[in-house]
Amino acid sequence: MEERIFMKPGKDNNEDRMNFVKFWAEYVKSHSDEEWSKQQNIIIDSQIINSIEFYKKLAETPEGRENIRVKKLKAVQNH
Amino acid sequence: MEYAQDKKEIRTNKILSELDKFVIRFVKILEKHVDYVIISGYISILLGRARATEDVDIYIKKIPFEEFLKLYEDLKKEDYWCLNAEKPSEVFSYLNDGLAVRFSREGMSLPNFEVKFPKREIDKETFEDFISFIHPEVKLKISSFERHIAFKKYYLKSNKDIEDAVHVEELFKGKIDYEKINKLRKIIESIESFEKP
Repeated sequence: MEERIFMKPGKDNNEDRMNFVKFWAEYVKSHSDEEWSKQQNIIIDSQIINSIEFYKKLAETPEGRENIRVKKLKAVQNH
Repeated sequence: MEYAQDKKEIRTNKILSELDKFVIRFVKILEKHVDYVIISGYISILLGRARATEDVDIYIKKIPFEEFLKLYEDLKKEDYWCLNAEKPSEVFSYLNDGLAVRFSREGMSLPNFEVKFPKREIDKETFEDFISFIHPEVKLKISSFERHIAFKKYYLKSNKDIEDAVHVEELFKGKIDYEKINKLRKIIESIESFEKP
């Protein structure tokens, strides 16, 4: 059976986050690329899929398409 | 993930994320027209850091307007839009002024690519100091780990940036040149005192 690595809890949120960063880096180092990337992709893919779904849904109606046009215009103007 | 320090190559068989596929698609268009290097946060994410991002930062070598126009037209043809301006001459003038311009897929704003010309000497050096990220489906140029760590720790300095640096440091412990990081740190600090008096 695989030997488990345990993470030390941090004294505050910053320390705890940093401990997790180190814990996760150790996990990436000690596991196959397939194993760690499968887990990492859960976080990353959800962001992209949500973004695609959001714009797809918005583009379904004339109001939504207008909303996208205005968003684009604002992005250009705000530069 | 295997890092050959001498060859400046990293090899992996990771399962590509949607973000990786998004980056690969953009870079394949970019590299037809201009030399590039990926910098900043996406490097840590590409190498396993457990976080998402809204943008991917990329340096492109300075090119004349005529060449930029071909790149811009190709991006438009492949369904990208620039978030900063419609006219290519305007987009190019932003780049020339040392500003970053953002591109995303048509109808979307997130995630996006923040593209810029390197401004300072230390930024230009990134094109000589990169690592090849080699995956069965793609080869990407990313900034060296030392440069990545130095900028994250000593220039950007937010919690997120420090964590990005620590992820890479922990991952490649024993394969990072700290002498080089210290040299870059001194340059960064001298730039900082000039930029933020």
